[in-house]
Amino acid sequence: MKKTYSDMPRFARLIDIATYLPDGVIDNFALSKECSDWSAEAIYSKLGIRQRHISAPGETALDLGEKACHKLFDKISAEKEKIEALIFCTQSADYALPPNSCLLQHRLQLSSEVMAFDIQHGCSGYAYGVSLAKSLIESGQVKNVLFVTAETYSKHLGQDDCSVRTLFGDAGAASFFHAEEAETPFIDSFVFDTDGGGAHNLILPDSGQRTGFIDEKLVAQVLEGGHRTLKNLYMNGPEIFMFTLSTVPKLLKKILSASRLSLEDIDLFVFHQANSFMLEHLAGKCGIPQERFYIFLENVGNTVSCSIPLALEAALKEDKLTKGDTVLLLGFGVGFSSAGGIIRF
Amino acid sequence: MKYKDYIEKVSADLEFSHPLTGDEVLEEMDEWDSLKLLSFIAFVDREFGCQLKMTDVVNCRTLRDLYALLPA
Repeated sequence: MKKTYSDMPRFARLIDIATYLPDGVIDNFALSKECSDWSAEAIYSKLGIRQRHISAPGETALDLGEKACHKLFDKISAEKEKIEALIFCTQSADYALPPNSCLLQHRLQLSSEVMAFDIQHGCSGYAYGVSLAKSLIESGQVKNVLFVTAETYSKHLGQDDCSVRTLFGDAGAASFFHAEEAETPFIDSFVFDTDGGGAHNLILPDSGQRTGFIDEKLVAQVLEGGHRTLKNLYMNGPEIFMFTLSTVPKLLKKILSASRLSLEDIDLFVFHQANSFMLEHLAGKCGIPQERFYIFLENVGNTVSCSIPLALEAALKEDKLTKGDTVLLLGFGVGFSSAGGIIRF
Repeated sequence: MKYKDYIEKVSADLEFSHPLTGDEVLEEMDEWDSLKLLSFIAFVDREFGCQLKMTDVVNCRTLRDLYALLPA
């Protein structure tokens, strides 16, 4: 017997996304003047990036996230009052405490009854937030979730460290989820992979309480070449690449297995937008056809936890993604931490 | 993969400007940088379907040394 409307279960659905990019831009020509070993064209041909947006001094991830939320409310203003949970994902919080989510609740004048909390994750952060939004909604705790990702990695980078300045850009993104009655879930089969043994390969060494106990070998690696201090981001590119090569294909298989889907059933693959070199190799290794593997890097760079929502928003605008499509998203990076799953639009 | 085939493929795949013998000291080569190392890792993954350990890779001075790490 066909279920009546009221008998249907409620599932979390991603309703809309808005993003915000800061006004400041640094292109490859400007960077190549500072990084004498890299020509503007060489940066583009290897990384697939022509420019990145950079936050102004004093402009923080909270500001970028707030602006993304205002853009979101321009589209779905009626939903603002209904928000019951606010999740803020960043590794560039205004303070070690209080959490950005509480500061944003006040700025946006959301209900005082809102559940507000931060998650501290990088490139896997968007997948974590989607999974959390689903959990909060489908456990019956709330009906509407605002999930904000915002990053200003540019503020973590050594000014002479071209290996990371060529990659990272700043951004904010706001995603709105709500409970919708349906036969089957819209968000499904989220899987996770954590390997803290790789933590030292992507790290801000002097950024918390651990500063007096930093491993001597790591200190030497971070300071090698004089491009950065212990307060700057250290990235071991080859180790991160090795980690993605071993982890991403396994995680992809797990998602497909959990969802009982094959590569052919996925309309669009949206991975964390690390750089085009890594993405193209991963797509080839995983057997994903180029036309269904979305790359959105050229004008924004690697925006950490904002890279997937920026790509989703762009794919929607370009009609690469339409209602009813099945998307596989997968984030991987700092931690080492990886997560991914299926979203039906 | 025989050494001759390996060094020919590496020279072409990593887009070196001239053919290599494999005995060149990598750190002394103008063309060797972090992106070339990433390209080498991708080459090994594609051709041999395996990932090397970076602790082994950093002890290699030449492409011939790196060859010795690869499965037969």
